Amino acid sequence: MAKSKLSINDIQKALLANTKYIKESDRIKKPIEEKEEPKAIVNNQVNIDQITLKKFKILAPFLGESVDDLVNKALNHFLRLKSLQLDQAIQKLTEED
Amino acid sequence: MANIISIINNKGGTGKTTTVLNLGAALAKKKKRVLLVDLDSQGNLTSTFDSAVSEQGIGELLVGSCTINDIIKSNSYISILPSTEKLLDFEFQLNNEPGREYMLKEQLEKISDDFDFILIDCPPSLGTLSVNSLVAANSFIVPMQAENFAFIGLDRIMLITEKVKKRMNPNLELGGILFVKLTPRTKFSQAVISNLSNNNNFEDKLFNTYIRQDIALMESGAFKQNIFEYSPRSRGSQDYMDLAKEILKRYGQK
Repeated sequence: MAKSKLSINDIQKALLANTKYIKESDRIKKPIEEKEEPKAIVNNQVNIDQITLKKFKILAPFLGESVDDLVNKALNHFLRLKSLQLDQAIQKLTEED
Repeated sequence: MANIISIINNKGGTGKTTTVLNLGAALAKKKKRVLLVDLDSQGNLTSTFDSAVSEQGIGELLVGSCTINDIIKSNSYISILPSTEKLLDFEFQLNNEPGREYMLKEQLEKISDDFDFILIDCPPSLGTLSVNSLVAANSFIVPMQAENFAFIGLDRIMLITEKVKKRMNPNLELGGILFVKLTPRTKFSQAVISNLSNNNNFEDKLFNTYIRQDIALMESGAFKQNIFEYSPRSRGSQDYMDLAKEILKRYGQK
């Protein structure tokens, strides 16, 4: 299997194959299904690493907002920037053509 | 009674000594009375304390040829039971002793009331010395990188600790799994973390704090300093202080 094609689930299974205690523990929950890349509007469906989430939790009360709202605003801001970059890239391509 | 924590992983280079040294220093900065125990014959922990390098060490103590007072070294904020390179010879001697797994427990019980935390730096093997640490401890922490061999190492530790718990120390608990040198964005790291966080045995055992890659952590040992002395504003310093706070919370201390 090509290295670049490995999914997290593939790696999870490979890791477990080398273990006994962890593998045989029948209390293991089902491995996390990999989510498809979001295609439309995203409402808190992104995986945020714990340190970043912690910072958002600290910041939110200072701004008088909920953590969810703050995450959504940050995400919206990021997506708008990306959208702008995309527009610029398309415009550049059109001009070159 | 002290919280006795064994820092253990049978794989080498997983940050056991670095964790004992810097977590100990962080807890001491939080005004806790801390004793470090160097159970590794390489004596790397001992070598970071100039005053601790001596002729006699933990090996002599375990076979009964000296007392704790003969070997314990203290500075203004922390104490250590040092190791010497002769420790491996003493491990062979111990193997012939009846009740050999209880030798460290016997010694630490004598001074347990004098400390809030006793952190044991285990050798990179699961032999008599490591079993001694698990018998003496209330809990154990496994520092590991998010990689295959460390994952296998964790599995072996869990197998042996299950036996120790069943046969010798029913109070032994997994204190936590500490990820070191973590790069959380890689698929491999995410796979390791997912495998553990989706397993009921481990899901609440992963420390929220993880230790990031930091050159200052590598350098500090060479200068015989902990990270707070060597580089108080480094990532390593911040991470180990966060870990100390998390441990104080987990162990019900402020």
